[in-house]
Amino acid sequence: MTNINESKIKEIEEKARIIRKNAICLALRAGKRGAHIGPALSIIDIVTTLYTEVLNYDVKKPDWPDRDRFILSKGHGVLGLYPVLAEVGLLPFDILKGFYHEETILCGHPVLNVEFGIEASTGSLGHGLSIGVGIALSAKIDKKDFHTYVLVGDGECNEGTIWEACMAAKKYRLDNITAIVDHNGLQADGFTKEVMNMYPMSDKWKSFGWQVEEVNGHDIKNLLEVFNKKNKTNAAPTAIIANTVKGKGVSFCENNKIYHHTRSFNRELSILALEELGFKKGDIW
Amino acid sequence: MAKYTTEVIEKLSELGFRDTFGREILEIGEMYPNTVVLAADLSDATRVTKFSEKFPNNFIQVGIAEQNMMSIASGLSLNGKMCFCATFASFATLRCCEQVRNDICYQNRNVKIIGIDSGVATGYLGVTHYGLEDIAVMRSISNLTVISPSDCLSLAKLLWEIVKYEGPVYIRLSGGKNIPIIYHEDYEFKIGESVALTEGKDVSIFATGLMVSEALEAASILRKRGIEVKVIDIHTIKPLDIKAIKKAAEETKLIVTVEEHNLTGGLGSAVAEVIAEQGVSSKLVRIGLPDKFISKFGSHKALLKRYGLTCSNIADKAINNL
Repeated sequence: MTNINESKIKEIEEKARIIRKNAICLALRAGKRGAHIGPALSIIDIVTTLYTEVLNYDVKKPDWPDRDRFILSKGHGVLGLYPVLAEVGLLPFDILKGFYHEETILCGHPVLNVEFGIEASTGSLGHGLSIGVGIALSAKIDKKDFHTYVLVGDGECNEGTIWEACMAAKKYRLDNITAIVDHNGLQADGFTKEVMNMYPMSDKWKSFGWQVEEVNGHDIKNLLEVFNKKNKTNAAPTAIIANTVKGKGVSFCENNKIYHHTRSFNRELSILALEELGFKKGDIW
Repeated sequence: MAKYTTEVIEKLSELGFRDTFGREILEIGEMYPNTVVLAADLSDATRVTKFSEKFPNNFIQVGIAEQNMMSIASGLSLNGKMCFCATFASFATLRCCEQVRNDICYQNRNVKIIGIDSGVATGYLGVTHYGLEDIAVMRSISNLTVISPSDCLSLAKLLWEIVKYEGPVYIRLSGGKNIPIIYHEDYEFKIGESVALTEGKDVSIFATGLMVSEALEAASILRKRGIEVKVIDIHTIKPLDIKAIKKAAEETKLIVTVEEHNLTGGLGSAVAEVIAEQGVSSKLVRIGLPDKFISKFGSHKALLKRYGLTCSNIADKAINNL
């Protein structure tokens, strides 16, 4: 990781802006078939930061055994992953643009495809962290240095298996795994506080023996600082509680549960969204 | 791999399925250094404790968390490990069914799932510990190979077959010790290829697991009454040996299936599907556990007897349907 400087932050912010635009285009493509746009917009700053400055990988050799791994455990946030993979060159743009066309290989949840940078099939919640623990364990067995990052949703933390994975990661002293909680406070049925109150989220992870960092999940500088800190030597896994806004960047999506999964993303709404992001309607594809 | 002499076969059969697995997995660990064994607080019951002592770095104890065990195995295999997850058949197939489907089978991982004490092997422990639906559930999951060995030699030999195959496998084991020997001499099993143990023109009996032994005894009873029986060991439920079933349906007018499993969705259902689709006509009689939860418990042997999973009932059913 390079030193944090203003130009790097600006570069990531600009990339995230483009990626948000492309996520909107994918939501438009899905249209009445429905897209999880809110949960994608909340993670884009995190995923963009990871793929730009944090993860160690080789676009020319995506199956490089020593690459860092990223698993999107909240698989429904896939519109926040595909455009990132395309932006960094892992996923060809023509394949991205085939999203939701007949016979596309890109469906509404990630499907294992190392060639295109997708490290696990996810979608049913509460699986990805355990898979990540398995990958991190294999790295320990093989004495490899790569790091595994797993992005989970705050609603996803309702799943008991998240905590099964937490126990195992601590027991095996997996300092080579980082869980990032997309703490946007909203889930499909409403506010997480009302559906199933997990507050205070940090304390729960701490009580399982994880070292916990809280971060503003939309502040690139803050994210970089926290990702920089990851390698402490107390042989514990790291949880980053990233406070985010569901639908971030598009005012009418923000904190609005109807955009968790929407079938209403038509051309007009897409243009509105794009204009808010500083694009023109001609930028829609 | 040790040679399977008659002496070894007798010893394994005396020890039972669990110990046979425990013995072979030690050698598999030796031969395949990428082997990782996972346990969910049942390492003694599944006989992997010795493995954990011999290969401590390749043993993962997740505690009582079967779902986590399956997903962790998926992750380990994503990085080249060959994983064995062992627990009771009911837990391995129902508790963590979705992890098996999504994390192991959908992603076609090299994970071998060992389900001990399937059927009603746990006897007095009750229905929560019975493996009544595992064949039905597991055979409907794509990419998964489903193995159901009839004796300890077939378990040992099939273990050595599945490690050569890079992909997900479920092995369904029965319980107990002193398992009847079907194969008195070493035999080269092939995944998906059933074994005709006897030849006969009147009745074909397709059996799996412990029921193969009962089917063989039923065949002797029937032979004394002048009825010639072909007994087939279906050690692989999936991929099913369709050719063998079609051939039997063409050659014998009655087909009997026997399994220690709910009649719904198990071996009998699988055979029925083949007969119906192949357009061959042969009467089918399915013998298995009834589609209801029992409320009166007993020993494994007593339960098998109560539900007609015995040689005499198999023979009677054959006679009544000929």
